[in-house]
Amino acid sequence: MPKEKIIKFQENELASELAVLQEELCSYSNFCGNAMDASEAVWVFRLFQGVSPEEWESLTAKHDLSQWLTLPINGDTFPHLKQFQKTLERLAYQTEHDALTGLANRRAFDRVLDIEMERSRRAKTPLSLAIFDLDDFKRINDTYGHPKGDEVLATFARQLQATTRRYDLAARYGGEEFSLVMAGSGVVKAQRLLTRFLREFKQVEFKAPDNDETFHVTCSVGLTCYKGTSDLSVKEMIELADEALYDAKNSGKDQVKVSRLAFVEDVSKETLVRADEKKFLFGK
Amino acid sequence: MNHNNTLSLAIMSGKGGVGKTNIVLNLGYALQQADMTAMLMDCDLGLANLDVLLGISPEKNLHDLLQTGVDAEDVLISIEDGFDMLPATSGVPELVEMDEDMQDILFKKLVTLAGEYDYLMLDLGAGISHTVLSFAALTQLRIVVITPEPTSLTDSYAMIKVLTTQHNVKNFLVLVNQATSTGEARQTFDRLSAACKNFLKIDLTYLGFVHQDRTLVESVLQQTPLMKYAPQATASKDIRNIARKIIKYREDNKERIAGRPILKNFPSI
Ligand SMILES: Nc1ncnc2c1ncn2[C@@H]1O[C@H](COP(=O)(O)OP(=O)(O)OP(=O)(O)O)[C@@H](O)[C@H]1O
Ligand SMILES: [Mg+2]
Repeated sequence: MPKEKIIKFQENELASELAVLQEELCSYSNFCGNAMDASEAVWVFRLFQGVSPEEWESLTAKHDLSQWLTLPINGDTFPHLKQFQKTLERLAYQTEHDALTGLANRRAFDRVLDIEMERSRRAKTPLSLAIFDLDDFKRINDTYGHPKGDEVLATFARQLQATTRRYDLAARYGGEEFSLVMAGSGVVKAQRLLTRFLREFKQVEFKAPDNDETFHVTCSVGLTCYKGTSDLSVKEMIELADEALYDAKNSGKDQVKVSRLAFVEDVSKETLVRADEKKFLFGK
Repeated sequence: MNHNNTLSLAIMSGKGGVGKTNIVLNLGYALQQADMTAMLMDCDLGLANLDVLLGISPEKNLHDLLQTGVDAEDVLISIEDGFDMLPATSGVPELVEMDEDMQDILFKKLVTLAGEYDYLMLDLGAGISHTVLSFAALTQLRIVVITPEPTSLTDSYAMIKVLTTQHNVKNFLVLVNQATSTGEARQTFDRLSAACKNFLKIDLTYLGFVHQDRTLVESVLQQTPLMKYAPQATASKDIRNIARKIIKYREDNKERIAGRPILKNFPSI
């Protein structure tokens, strides 16, 4: 049998086998793009004869199999391990980054916020969290089309990244929602940064796709701050920022609103001198 | 643990300007004149006053003591034979809120030397800052200085409440300053004492009072401690009375003092 034919045959079989396997495995919640937990992970090996590394590479591109890794049976393993490494890096990047904007994704955001809150709890340092939502984004999509909407998102992301400091984490949080974790910043500092960012972003001029018209985009921000003084959970902190965002939307958009602040409300009341104690002191 | 002979006292008040520094300084003189030795530490860390009342301008102060290689002996100033003083700094906000590490450096250097005196007295800044509260919790006794003014009463009550509820400190001696009569002093103490008993469930001890005395104001203007300026003034006599009570307390409680470190948690390791 000519060699051509064998590969042809194998290619189809291989692709469909992998597709079935991939689909099956995806029904396990931990398989498709969730946190890597070593105890819940296995390597799946399958011996394929007659496929060269080059042929495999073209196969992965064609059939969207980039998550499947290969190992040669013999020969020089070095180029293969390099390829292996590159694939792992790419996958690691993909699991923590948003494809459109290049910002951290929701998963990276959750992980970082968790770590930063723990740090704040231990060191009693301030930690601010902002959640952004582009104003009237649906209308932009409807009026100018989705590609334009994507351009707005990408521009917003670029600008946000440029405004923030090296140790802040900017993330794409949802469709047109973004978030910013500001370690070491209290309310005043964070508010200053956000106000400046809002002012600068709404000056950016976008061009309508099919005429000379230009338009501007604004966004609303909910801000909250944690100082490690209470037992706030990640979820609760996000809820606080969300509440403030809701408040900003309801107050006319294009602004920053600050949430209730746990470190203000949690000031110990046990030592407070009450009115009855004062009255007693003065014999009244 | 070594046998301890030193009685440590913190002089404090909720409200500022009630006379803490004048009282502690003159108390030191009174103790010295009764053949006791005393080390006085200005713990109003960012705003030193003791040196000013003495009319001196120390070259070195507490800030120097924090530096490596500087020992307590290098900074200590002799006021009288057996009566020494450690000056604080003026205008160094970083020192007002002293963190745990700084306090550790400071007291480690001081505690051995302090053990050679009969008394260690800390003149604290007014108020309820973290530094004040943590220093107040270190000593064996606390003298709360109040005046008959209502503001002094509430401020001191607030301070006692914080120390009681958050630092588990429950024993306080109360000194009423600037009283015009024995009755007024007693009444002032009784009010504070009743409130503490009623709401905080603690008993305060009355240490006595010092009269309102113009001579003391004059002595401040002259930058000469009252005990030297006018040893027979009413306020001087009052302060000698207080000193006698403190001496008696130390005599009566020798065993208790011996069983406790000069400053709680020191040496820390
Ligand atoms: N018994 C007294 N009779 C008259 N005046 C007094 C008396 N005690 C204190 N004063 C006045 O109060 C002023 C403040 O005193 P002093 O500096 O000792 O107070 P303090 O409590 O140490 O203040 P701070 O809280 O600023 O440390 C004195 O300069 C003096 O004018
Ligand atoms: Mg003073």
